[in-house]
Amino acid sequence: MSAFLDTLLSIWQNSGFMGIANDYRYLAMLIVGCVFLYLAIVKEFEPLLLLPIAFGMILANLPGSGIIHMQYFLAPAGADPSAYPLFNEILHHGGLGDMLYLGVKLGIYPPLIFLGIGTMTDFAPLISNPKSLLLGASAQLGIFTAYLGAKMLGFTGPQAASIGIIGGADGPTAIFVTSKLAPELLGSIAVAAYSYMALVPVIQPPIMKLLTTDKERKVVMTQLRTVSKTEKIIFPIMCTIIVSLILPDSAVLVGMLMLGNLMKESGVVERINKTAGNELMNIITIFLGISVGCTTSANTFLNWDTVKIIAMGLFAFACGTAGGVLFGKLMYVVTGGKVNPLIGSAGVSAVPMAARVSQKVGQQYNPSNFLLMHAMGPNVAGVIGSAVAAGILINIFG
Amino acid sequence: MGAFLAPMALTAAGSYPSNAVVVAIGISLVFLILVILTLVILLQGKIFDSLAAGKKQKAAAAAPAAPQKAAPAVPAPAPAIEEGIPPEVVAAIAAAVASLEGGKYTLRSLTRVKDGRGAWGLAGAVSGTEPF
Repeated sequence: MSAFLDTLLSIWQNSGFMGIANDYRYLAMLIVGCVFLYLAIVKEFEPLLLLPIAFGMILANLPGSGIIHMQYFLAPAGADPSAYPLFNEILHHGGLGDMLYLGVKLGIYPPLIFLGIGTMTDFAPLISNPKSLLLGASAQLGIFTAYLGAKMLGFTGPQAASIGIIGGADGPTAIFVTSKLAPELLGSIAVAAYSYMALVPVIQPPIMKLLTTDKERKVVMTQLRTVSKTEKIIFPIMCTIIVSLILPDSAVLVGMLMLGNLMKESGVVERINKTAGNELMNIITIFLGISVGCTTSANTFLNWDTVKIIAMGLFAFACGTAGGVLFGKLMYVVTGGKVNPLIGSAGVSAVPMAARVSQKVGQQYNPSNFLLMHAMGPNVAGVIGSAVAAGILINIFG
Repeated sequence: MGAFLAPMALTAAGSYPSNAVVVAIGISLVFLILVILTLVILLQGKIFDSLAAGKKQKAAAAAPAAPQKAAPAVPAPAPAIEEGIPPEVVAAIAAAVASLEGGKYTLRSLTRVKDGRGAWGLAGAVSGTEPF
């Protein structure tokens, strides 16, 4: 009888309830995970990623589940960082979370997601109006202002660079940079990046309205030039070569994006084009979501740094939007009123949400105005712009 | 260019450059790369536009008889429009007709459908009776 009771007691002591009783922060993290699940399911905030992230968060914070061993990946203070990740330990003792996280740590998932995004992106609006690339560049202002802000709040250079990249409004890019520069902040930054991307329709319109006049918002833009198939095929090849020669650190992100696009535009590899844009992308999305969620532990997530990151993320989005709109105003003046500055805000990427916001705000002031295709130019330019900015930051801090 | 950024990164105080350097390099490089891309795409667009224009000219020179054949169709009589149809509707229908087969057809007359069921009613009747 006593053996029975001892075994029962031992099971109870090893149970998650004892873990929660010993450290209440596990419970707090479970509640945070449930809140994110609520946002994903009920509010539909980027549910494709937020749902697996939130569930990964719950899995990783069930005491004793051992789904991931972050101690194999993150060097503790004083240890030699070049020895990490501890591949030997991961391969011998790692579990599902560890294996999936390797794809994040080694920078494999974000470029594969970019491959899928490439198969769904139409660069025609950008090719027909190449000046929209400048709007995509100016909207990257948010990355660098948020970098400065994060430095002022006491983050280190690599951490500040990872926080700044939230302003690129591009989830895979943010994860790619953070996994290389500040893996300890990955959970917070990914959650902030995806939450704000979902909040683009709330964050952007007030800034767009504040910075533009009624007359500017009503500008109707001239129809775009039609782009030939040959031009659409040449663009991804040329863009990859030029960007990668100047900035080799961007090659993997830009290259994969453009490979996906070439697969779509060439029209000769329909089968793999479909796989890259559907099945492969969905599989990687699941892996990425779970593994990012698993990296959130109470130590790294429940602290003031997360609050600061969320504040800086909002700041980055706001500055990026303002940068794009202000450059749009400049183009409005230079072209003698032919450019509607509202399309500038789409330069923050967040495809296609930000372009839709430009369209919606434009139509509020001139119901017969269709800015969507004009805004898609800066929108896809923003994806290239944030991949370039990511390459620069990795080059400096990597 | 990426290769020579790395030594620059190490020269400033500590192991990383100062904030001003990071921001200045970041913003100017993003703009530089995207401006280069803009110029290249502009150039490409110009080349393709001139190629397309050249092709059109060649086609026009090769087939001078074609416009003559089409000429009799141009002075088509003004379409007979029934009273009460707004000019916008006439324009829209004329444009739709003209776009068929690259402008082969023109609108001759426009009258309202007088009797029978409306289009929706007709569609309903067709779908309801089709199985039989």
